[in-house]
Amino acid sequence: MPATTTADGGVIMLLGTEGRMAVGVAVATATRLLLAGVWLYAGLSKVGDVRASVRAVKAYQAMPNALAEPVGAALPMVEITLGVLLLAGLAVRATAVVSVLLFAVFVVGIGWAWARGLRIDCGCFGGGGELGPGESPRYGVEIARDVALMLAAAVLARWPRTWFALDSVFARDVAFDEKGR
Amino acid sequence: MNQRTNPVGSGLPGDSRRNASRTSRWTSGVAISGLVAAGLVGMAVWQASAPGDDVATPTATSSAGDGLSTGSGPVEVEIYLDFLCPACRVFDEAARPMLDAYLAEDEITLTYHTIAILNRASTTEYSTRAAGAAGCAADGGEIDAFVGAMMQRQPAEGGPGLSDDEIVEIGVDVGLTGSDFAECVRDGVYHDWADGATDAAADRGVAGTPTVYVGGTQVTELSLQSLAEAIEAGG
Repeated sequence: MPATTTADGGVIMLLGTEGRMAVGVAVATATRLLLAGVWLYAGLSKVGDVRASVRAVKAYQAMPNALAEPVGAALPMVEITLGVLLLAGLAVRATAVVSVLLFAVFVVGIGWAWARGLRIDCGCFGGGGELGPGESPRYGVEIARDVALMLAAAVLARWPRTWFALDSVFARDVAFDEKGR
Repeated sequence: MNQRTNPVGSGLPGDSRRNASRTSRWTSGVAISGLVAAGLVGMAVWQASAPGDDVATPTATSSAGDGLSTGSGPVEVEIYLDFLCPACRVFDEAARPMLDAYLAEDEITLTYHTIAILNRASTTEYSTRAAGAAGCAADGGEIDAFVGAMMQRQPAEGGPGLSDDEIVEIGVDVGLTGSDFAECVRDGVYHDWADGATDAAADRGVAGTPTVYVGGTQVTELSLQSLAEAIEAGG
């Protein structure tokens, strides 16, 4: 099959196969580190005040308080772990898929708050979901940001190969092991 | 077809894709297990740090224990406030003369829910300290005057807020001259109670301050007008 019929697109074609791979891996690497940073920042800004995290989940009024409590308590640690895994590049595809799902939940949650006319802060980066003094809700901005992050995570789930990733270390070990037989 | 078997992203020779998928399966398993474990740790830590049943509670609380009540009139007015919230100060200054008049005529029971949602806006958890001090003031029978005086001397956001000693001075100004009030404030006797009252506010769906309920119904579009109408309507 002639290389020009692949689905990679015209401009990148000019780089040749190796060049295209390098661009793709560079983009994926940057995306991975961006998501790692977002998750670490989000988790660390919540973990110091887990009671506020629980309040932030309750503020959505989207689930019973008895369910919002464990969710709010678990979320900061899950976010930090996602950030660490992405930073290390371990199970990039799986963590990217989990990221897509979590961002989707956040988008639905914020949309729900908006649709119901609640006046809350998304609690994305700490706080108990209460708007600051004189603040108005910023649902549009929050949804746009989370949709963008969700798309970035989807790209990473599709093309999870990145530089400086533990995944490549383990993959190589297995390959050597198989060849050594 | 070589392009298909070696797509951008896999980066592995075609003959090791099977190995790669096996590797990604166990690393994925490790990662997912790690995420689940992290969530469980978060829940366990939260559970362990939750205050028990032995939280010191002020004596003059509302029936649910999360508010500080004064007066004995038939219409129940509840105000959720954070001592660091500028809108709460503005509301307090505007509504105080009217509410004090209703109190004097014994038409309302006034309950202050002093909650701590702005701890991030001070360097010393001023919201919790001030809300706890309100519990001490309620014990001394001066909750209404204390709230007004604290609002008049509301510190700026972002700084350390008022020190415990400054809070004690404000109490003295409104007649809380006993040593028990000063000790109560300095020992932080009601800090846990204040944080519990904050949790209770979230349980009720309070997501901002000031929030006002009259007769158990929230006053939306809060203004002196709407508040007076709600009280006159009997809640």
